[in-house]
Amino acid sequence: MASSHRGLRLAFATALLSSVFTIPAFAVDDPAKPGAAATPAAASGASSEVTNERLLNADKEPQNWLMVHKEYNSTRYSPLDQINKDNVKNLKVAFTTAIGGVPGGGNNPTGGLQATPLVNNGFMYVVDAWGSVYKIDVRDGKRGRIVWVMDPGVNKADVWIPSNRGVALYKNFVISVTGPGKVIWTNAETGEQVRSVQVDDPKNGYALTAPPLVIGNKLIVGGSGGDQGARDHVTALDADTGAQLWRTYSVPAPGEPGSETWGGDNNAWMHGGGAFWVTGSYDPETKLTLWGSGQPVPMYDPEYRPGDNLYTNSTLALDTETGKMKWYFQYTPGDFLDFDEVGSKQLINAKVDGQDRKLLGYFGRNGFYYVQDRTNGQFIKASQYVKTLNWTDGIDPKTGKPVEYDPNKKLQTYKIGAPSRRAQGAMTACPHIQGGVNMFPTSYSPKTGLSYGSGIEGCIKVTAVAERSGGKIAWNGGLTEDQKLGGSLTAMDPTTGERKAQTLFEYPAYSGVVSTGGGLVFTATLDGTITAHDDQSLKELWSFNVGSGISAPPMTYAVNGKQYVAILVGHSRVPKGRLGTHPEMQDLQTTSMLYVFSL
Amino acid sequence: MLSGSAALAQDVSVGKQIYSSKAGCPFCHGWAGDGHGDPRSEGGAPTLRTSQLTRDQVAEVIQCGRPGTGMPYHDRFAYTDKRCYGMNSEDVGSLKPRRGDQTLQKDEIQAVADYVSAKIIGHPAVTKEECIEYFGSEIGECKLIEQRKG
Repeated sequence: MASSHRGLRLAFATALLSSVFTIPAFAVDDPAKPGAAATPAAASGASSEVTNERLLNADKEPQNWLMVHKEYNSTRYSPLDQINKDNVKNLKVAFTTAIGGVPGGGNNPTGGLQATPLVNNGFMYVVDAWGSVYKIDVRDGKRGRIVWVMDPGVNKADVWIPSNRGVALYKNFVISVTGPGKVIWTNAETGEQVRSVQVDDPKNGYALTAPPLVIGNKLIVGGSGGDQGARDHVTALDADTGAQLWRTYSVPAPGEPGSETWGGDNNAWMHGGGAFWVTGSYDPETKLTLWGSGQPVPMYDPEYRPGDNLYTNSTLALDTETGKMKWYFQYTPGDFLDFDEVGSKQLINAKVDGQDRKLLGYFGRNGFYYVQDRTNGQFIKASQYVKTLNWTDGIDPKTGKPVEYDPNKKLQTYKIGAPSRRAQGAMTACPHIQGGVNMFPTSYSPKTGLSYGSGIEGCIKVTAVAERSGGKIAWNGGLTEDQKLGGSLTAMDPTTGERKAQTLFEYPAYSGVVSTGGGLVFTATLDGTITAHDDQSLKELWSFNVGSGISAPPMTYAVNGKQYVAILVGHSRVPKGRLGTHPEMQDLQTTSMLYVFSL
Repeated sequence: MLSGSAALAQDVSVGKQIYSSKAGCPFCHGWAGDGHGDPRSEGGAPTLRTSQLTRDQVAEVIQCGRPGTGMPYHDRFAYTDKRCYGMNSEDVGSLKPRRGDQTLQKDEIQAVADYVSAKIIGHPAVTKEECIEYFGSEIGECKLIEQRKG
């Protein structure tokens, strides 16, 4: 992007400040009434109440994991070092706990797990595909006893995607979401549901799969359901009452800044996608919360929605108080390869060219690792992290846009597309439409100064089909065929953009990463193998196969001075599909289990 | 002993159960068989509602898949011999379809074919009543049917 163009885009962003919607929450259901709300902190032990102070200082509690990305900076680094490079070879199963939610419903043959477990002083909180929350007592390290289950009672047929990526903790509440779009407050002590809010109407495609981000007295809620035609948004709710405070859409309405990037006669903006299905980051210094938006809809058919399709495939920096967009950066304008850029946004403080910088480090689903100034979105560097990439010849070092990007074109072609994708027929794209690094959480270790991401390696055939746009048959605008897929774990240096190390896997990594003070990086692959790697060389130091697919990220915690590594096991149909070109894995069965490891 | 029509109804209900759960057909075809499956489904499954296939042809496609398309086969031993279109793996080559996540026994394949032929093929329009019958109540999906027609 030329500097003048950047200025134009920033002007759009500024103009958008006046266009943010504030509308009431769709509905508030408060069966318990205020007086019957959460058990007072005194009853549960004040030390377990999750205060703003604790969330702001989550790094001071290495034994706990209080929010989905561990800290507001989304770095998922744990200073715990009891399990380290020397002794990780002795890591073994401490206990397992069966979670519910395997049977499917609606269009989904099974559930699957994608959540990061939270741990607060010896109690773990996880959620299954259908929104049931489990509190598990992990204090003695020998068993994981389920203390309570809060089943929200959703009809599985109304859950369009059986994915739920975790819960949030606020005061003495566990905050969870359901597929059909509710936020639920549960008493952390008793498991009683005390309040719920229907954030938006699921009949418009709206769904929820990502845990809210608690900031002060607000819940920042990112909407899902883009793939089925939602016009998505980030919405702030009052964390105590559920009242809506602000809402910012990723897709502008006609007349709003950016609306000129949605061409055609289909009113594509009304179901434009741009979902926020991974929880964002928060920078307490700037009071900005950073969220990644998903792809435009229909995902394979740009002729349905000619233009750049702002603000899809972007990072949006929103003022926490007002929801106003301070800056945005779009990675792949006019996308036709399903490059949601929702992944976790690492907030990193490091020197670049000798200067202290406040950085945003990001593993793009499009195969590039981006480094930006997180205070204003300024592009700094991007470099390829996946092994195989063919859709562009690279990222312009000045603008941060793909080198083939032409702002005057209504239909981008990049390197592999034709002006008419509908006429082009099948096209082979690398990386796969799911990445690269997809929603799989990434990590940054201040100890090594490296960012770690794990994901998919390989390519896919994509065909645009106009009849599959518009929602009458489907919302995806085409069809796909996987080629043989593997996986990788990659370490990138955010100060230079250099790929420092990479390990390749036989199967896709559909999990995520945690790095530790013990010099380790943990991840997992779809065949059910959990691995620990040296945080410099990425050499594998330990592995364990659980015999079922893994689509959830690992985390680590400590109780009574002992460190544990935990991960949820069990895949749904979408991750299993990525094994479709591995005949030897055809009969892999799903499950729904918590695995916890210790020395 | 069930009468002929009662036996047929029972077979269709068994087929519906397999279609909707074990075989995972709705992930690609949608619960109504109209192609409105999961947007992340791979093969671009077509609507079955306007299909011209006979019941036996449906059974064959379920058993053997459709070479060169995303429709998988569900007979665990398809293409190990010549039971499918007279072709084994060598004959079908690169057009060999993928295997379904779950394989089906012969009677299960016949039951699904009965269900698809009786309840889906030849019924172009998806109705709210049909949705309520399928799910047992008027779930959110049923409320979308009129909207989708528009």
